[in-house]
Amino acid sequence: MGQEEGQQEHRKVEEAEEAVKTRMERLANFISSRTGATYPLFRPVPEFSLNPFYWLGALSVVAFIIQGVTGLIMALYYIPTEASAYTTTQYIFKSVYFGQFLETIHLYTAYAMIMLAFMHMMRGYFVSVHKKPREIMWMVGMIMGFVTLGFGFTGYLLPYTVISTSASDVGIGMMAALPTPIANLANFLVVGTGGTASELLRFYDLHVIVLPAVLLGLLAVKMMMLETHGVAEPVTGSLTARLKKTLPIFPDVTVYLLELAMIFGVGMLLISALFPIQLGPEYTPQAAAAIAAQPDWYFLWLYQILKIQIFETAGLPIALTFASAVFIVLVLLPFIDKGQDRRILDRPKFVTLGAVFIAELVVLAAWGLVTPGQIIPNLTAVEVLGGTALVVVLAIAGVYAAVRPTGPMAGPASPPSPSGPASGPVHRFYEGKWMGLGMSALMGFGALGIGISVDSVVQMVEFGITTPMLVRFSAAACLMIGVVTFAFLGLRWMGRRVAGQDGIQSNEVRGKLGLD
Amino acid sequence: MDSTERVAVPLLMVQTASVILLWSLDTLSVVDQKIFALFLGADFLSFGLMAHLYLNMKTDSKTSGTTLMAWGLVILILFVAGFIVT
Repeated sequence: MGQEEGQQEHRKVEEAEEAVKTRMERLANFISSRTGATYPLFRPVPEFSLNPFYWLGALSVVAFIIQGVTGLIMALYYIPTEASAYTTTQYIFKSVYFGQFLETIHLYTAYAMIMLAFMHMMRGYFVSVHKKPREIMWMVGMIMGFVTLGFGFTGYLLPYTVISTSASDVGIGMMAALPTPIANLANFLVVGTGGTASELLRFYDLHVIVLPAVLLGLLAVKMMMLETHGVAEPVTGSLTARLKKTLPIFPDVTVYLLELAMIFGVGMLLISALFPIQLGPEYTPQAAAAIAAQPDWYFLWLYQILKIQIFETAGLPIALTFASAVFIVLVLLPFIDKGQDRRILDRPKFVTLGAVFIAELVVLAAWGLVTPGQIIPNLTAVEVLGGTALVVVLAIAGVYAAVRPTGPMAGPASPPSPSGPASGPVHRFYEGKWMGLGMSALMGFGALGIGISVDSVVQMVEFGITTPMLVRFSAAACLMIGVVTFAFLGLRWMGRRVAGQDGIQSNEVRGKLGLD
Repeated sequence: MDSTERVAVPLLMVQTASVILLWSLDTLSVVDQKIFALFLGADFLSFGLMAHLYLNMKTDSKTSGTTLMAWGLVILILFVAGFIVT
């Protein structure tokens, strides 16, 4: 009797729940029940990950799908031969329905894919997703990034314009400087018999068959590992019970991804409509001789490194070895950055290295863009690249100086809050959120002073001591000393204030801050 | 009909209208490519807003009036711009 009552009660609850469902929910339920889309193929996703920063990789895949669709349409018209590559591209631009639009969207989504993949990588680096147990996921992701750049390299040649062909020739020429086994493999894959026709066909095959297949295979492997390990939890802040709640892949997370994809799609559409690309002039040896070969923006950093005087000729293998070493270090990062700390504030060395890496890439790319074909003197390269690293290091040092762990100084640690971070010291800004920015600016000025001083000394060594140069050096030195003094006094004052508020008990710390 | 569905109806109308307009374009002209992008953009944004509303409903989050107005305004701007270019 009691069991029947219980069943009736359960049925009533189900009916009541059914009654409050909206039409949209009923529609979603209909689709899921008929298509089996809610079959638990993918693990549910925690609600905290419904944040665009967690979906940069997925957006990169969305860009890849758009490229696949637009590329497929273009492939119906394009012929990868020396005689027809340019004319068929021209035909797509001028005579195919929406041809120019297709070409533009294909190019801009390629740019977006590279940029999103880079952002995905750097976000992962800063929030330590490469740490246990996601080491192999990181390595696979890095190889996917390399394949993505391969798409750019192989696709650049296909229109067969003077600029694209010249830049690709430079790239192919660089392969000869690689270690022999790698150079042979690269030649086999990319160059073939050495003729232009062979190159074009191989670039095309790599672009539309080999690389997509490799990328999809790697994506499947990465998704399998994501299923095993799930989404990495955020490293800062506390998670409420609501944010820890999980949502099913279909329809909830799929709908979220569709929302992001739509916004991304609108951005791509509008940019493509406002700034349609034009096809450059056709490649001829005469036209190629008259221009400075320049790669697309995502290879400008490498182009600029290769233009530095020391790497120009005999140093080319060194430059390529260096670039390869950076890539290998990034792939092996999980086995280099092995510490348990995941929070940015607990990893100053790696955060600084990451920031310097981004800054150097940006500076090299911008510099390469404005100095096409110019050889960069060694000294200038040292000044610019060294100065950039110095400014970034000092700016970050400023931020770390303004934020300090209070755990060890504040006496016995309080028991961890159930909703708080799992472990690690508590961090505090000395003076509100603007303190870090203020210190960064201050340190930036300090770095500027150091940079100008060093430059002045270099100029005086090279061209002799002149009065204007002495004045410049003195002004820069004064700026540097002023900033360092100001920063030291400011930090000391702030430290005393915070120490007073915290009631520091340690005699050593009180003595250092001059509180007694 | 709840508030989410009330918003969904005009959004569906926007999508229908934009799809009809998209099919009526002369696709060889560069100007028409701009119109195509504008109408398709309005279509995508309408779909995106519907997805946003649906997800907020599922996660018990509120959609602020400002978000709704701003999103709607962008859709309107794209649509109007499409007609102006036409």
